[in-house]
Amino acid sequence: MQFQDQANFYGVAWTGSDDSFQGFIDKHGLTFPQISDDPGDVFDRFDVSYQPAFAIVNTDGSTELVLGAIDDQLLGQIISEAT
Amino acid sequence: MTFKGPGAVTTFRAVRTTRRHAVSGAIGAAVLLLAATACGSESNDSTTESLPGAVVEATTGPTEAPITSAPTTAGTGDTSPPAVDADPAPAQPAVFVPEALQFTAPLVGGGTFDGAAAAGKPTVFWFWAPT
Repeated sequence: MQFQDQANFYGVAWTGSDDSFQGFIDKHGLTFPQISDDPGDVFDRFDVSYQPAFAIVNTDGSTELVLGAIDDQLLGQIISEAT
Repeated sequence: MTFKGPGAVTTFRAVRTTRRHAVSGAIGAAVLLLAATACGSESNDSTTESLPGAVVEATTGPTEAPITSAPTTAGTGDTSPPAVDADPAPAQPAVFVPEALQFTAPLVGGGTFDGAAAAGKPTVFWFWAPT
């Protein structure tokens, strides 16, 4: 992945079973770890009410939330600000 | 009186230096071990002057010296003081885990996510659902 040396990446999968999550992972060729969050604990923890969404935890501990899809350019900008 | 006085002073100095070494790290522990080994093999005669401190301490009070200075002081001193002395900078960021990362969660396909392992780098969570 493009930004993998600059940041850790984790997926957080919601509303489904591990089988359906795995199907999605295989279909899209995801190579980074995916959290199985069917109860929505991690969604709640980051106040994410719908998906897709991104939460970025900066090195100082501050957290940014981006609701909705983002493209490479925005993701790069967010990561460079978080470093 | 005159013989006991200086002798006691020498013993205390020797003990202090031994403990300082032990606190300062593995070298101290090695010195202690060497001294104890030397004590076991050579202390039959008058090797107290050539091997100061630990030999006197070991022969006069074998229960006190190894228990108080070797396992307790050297044991804890072996791990933390060298780490602080050698490289204090890497130890602190590795320890700091933001509150936002203080959780664990199961991973798809097995295993556990541990937020502490993600500390030290910006961490991106991408929330999705298999619709």
